[in-house]
Amino acid sequence: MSDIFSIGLSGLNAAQNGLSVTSNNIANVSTPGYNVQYLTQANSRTQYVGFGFLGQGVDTTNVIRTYNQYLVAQQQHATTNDSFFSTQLQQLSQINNMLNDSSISVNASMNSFFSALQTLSQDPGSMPSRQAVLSMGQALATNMTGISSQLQQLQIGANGQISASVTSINNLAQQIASYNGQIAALTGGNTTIGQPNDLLDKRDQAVLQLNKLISTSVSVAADGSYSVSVGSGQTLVSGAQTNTLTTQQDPANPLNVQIGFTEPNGSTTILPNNLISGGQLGALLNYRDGPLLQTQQQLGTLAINFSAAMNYQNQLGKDRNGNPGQPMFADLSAYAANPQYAAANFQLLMGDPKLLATASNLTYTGTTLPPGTTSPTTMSGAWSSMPGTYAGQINASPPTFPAATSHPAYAMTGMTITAAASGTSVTMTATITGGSAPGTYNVVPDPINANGYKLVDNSTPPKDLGIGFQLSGSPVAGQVFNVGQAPNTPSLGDNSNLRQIIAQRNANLVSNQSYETYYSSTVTSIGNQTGSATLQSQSMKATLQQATTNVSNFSGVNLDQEASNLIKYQQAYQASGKIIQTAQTIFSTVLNMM
Amino acid sequence: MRISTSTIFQNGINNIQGLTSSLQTLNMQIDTQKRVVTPADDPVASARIESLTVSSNQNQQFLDNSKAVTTWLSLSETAVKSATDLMGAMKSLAIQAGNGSYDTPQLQALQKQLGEAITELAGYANATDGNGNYLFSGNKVDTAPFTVNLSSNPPTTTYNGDTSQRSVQVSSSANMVISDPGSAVFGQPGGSPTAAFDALTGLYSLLGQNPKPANFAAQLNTSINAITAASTQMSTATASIGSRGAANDNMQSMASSLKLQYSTSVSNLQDLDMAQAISDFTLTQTSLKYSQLTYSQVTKLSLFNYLG
Repeated sequence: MSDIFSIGLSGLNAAQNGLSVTSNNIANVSTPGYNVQYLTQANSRTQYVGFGFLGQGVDTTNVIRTYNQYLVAQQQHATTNDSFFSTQLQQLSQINNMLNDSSISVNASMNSFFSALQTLSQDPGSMPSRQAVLSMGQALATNMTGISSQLQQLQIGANGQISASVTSINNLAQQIASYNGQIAALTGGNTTIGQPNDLLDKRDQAVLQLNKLISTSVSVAADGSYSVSVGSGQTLVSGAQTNTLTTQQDPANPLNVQIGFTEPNGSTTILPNNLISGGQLGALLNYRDGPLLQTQQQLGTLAINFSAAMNYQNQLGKDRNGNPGQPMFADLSAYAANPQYAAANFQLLMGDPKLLATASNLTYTGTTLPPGTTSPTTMSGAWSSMPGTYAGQINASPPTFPAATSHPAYAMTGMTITAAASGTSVTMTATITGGSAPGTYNVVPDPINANGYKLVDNSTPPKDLGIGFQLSGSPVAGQVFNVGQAPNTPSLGDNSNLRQIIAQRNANLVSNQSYETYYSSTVTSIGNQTGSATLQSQSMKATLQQATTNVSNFSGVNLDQEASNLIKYQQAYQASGKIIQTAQTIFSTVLNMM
Repeated sequence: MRISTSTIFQNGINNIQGLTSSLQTLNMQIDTQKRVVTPADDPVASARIESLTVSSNQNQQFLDNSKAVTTWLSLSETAVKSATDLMGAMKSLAIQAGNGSYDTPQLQALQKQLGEAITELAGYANATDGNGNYLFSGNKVDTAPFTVNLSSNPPTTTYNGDTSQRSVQVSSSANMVISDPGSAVFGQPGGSPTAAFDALTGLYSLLGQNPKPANFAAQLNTSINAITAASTQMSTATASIGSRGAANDNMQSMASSLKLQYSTSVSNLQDLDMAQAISDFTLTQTSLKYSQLTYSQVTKLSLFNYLG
């Protein structure tokens, strides 16, 4: 008799426990990281009663969470990858959008600068046109430093996020260690008995959060505690103990922070970027020292080479006062080894529009004809241009920046160009006296000018020596043209040196590309990287969604299932109640019989 | 297969978010009417657009330069043509002076007329471009190229310019000469930079001699020849200016058609196929509508609805 009571009671208890597990599942339907729990129960120990064994009811044995460590590991891995690419995309988009802003495009201001120079070439003495060139030069400088400072803001922002990520990593490591400690205290390190499922879920959730920030490897110890390590095996969490990541100023670049790892003995080692892979932190480091640095370096290289070449050519000419030209822009050649710092210092030095060296430093001093001949041909102009070797020197790695004083025309005492009959045509040779490259050179036509010629050196293939001239017609055999240094008097109509400055627009003076092509390729490179980060981010997001769905489908709450469990346990409860009622009825029957 | 309740909600939301994001992108493309808004949208097209824009900008500047060249050349041409006409009139005057019946006062009247013509020629030769730059002084644009002194005996003319010629870039591979030194236009026969003036001032001195020299007719003939030679030189200069003008016109029309080509190419790369975009937009919009509808239907399904 008492058996029926106790059997009914055990059923009531079991059903009540079942209802409470089910209710807990329903209540946590939208709790992140919650794994559905179920009740395990077994029939109670049977009792031999002479003819056989009678069951003694039901025992609830455990509450277990549904958990698949492989699916969870996949989710952690997918989270790291997704976070890496989405962070990278987010950062790259900032540069991409910034460079796309046409109001600060270097190419737009480069175009305005060269357009102003072209307009000046129509009337090289004009003060308003000269002022326009300086204004556009100033606008170019403002633009260059503006972009540079925006890039620096992005750099500062990235470093701020790096420090914030490191703080979050340390916090999460501490949480995981604390959960390890609490779980161990509750279970005594025994994983075979009932576990505090809420703490296990929370610990897994903290590991997932940690993986968002940095790629980790997690190992489960025999006592059930998690050991978490990062990088090349730096242990962040071991049992209830943690080691910390630190940030410190990079001595080589004070704007940047370095990641350090504090060893258990208290010493700190610097972790190189390649050890910190994946996650938000990995992406930020990768971006800061990859695309961002590359953009800063390319902008800087453009600033260095542009200012050097402009200064060179301007120093080869004569300004509006008739004086030798001076540098137009600040000299940035000292930054050649660290070009990322150059663009911030790009500056227009020239304040007086008269100082633009539009006129040539060479002048025609007359012609002599062989006796008995006449020729109306005179020289229309002679000028110094960029030697053919210049591009090679400025594009070399490391680059060299030739001084204008080393130009063959800079200090020459004179040049004679002698025409000689060669078959039916007339060819010319030039003899330079004095300066850095005295000697006799061949003269070849320069098709850009009618009756234009240039001197070539004696190398194979011949390179431009850096001196050109134009005749008013064809020379006669034996005619000699004399060229000397231009006097220090104004030559307002002369635009020969200005045309050489303009010619730089299509010369390959930065990384074997023209200024504008080089800047375009910088913009395109960021566009390419952003485009591919978009695709990778999309595919990683899909992978993460799939992994999350897998985990959720395996161990998430299904309300229909819980509804059915609710009915099942409710009915079991009602049935067990019925047992007690029956027992009571039987008991009263017996009592009434007495 | 077991599907958790949160999966049902999350999948619905993921689909709706994906479609909303596509809709947003299409919306932006339709608003800007551009397919490539940032370099990341299509890096290859973007690189091509950048380089076309650079070429197009340069081409525009060549077009502007070429228009300025037209102005310069036509100013020079007008001045030289007027000077040529003047030389023709002076040749007639010289022939008139050869009329043996002309007495001294009549010749002096002709001399006075010639004096005015010399001043007029100096006016043409010292013409400016409107900004105060002398057209015919080579690179010394701030110096009047010719100074005529009729009061000295014999009258003198000096050339103060140089032989330089100024060029302006009109295409990536060509510079156009826009100025002609006065020594080449108003000088040359016999090598003097002031030949045209010398021819007229020679005649001026001759007409002013009282009494007429014995070899008046011979001297007059020399003057007529010198005037003819000077006009021929001016006509040659006009032809040279004219041929450069024609070449410049060619460059200009080439630059104009390049301008159109560049803008067409950029437009092809950058602009949106509107019909396609609208169709995509409508399709995405429809999918989104049905996604929302099915989401609200599926999430309504629950066994709890039937528990009384």
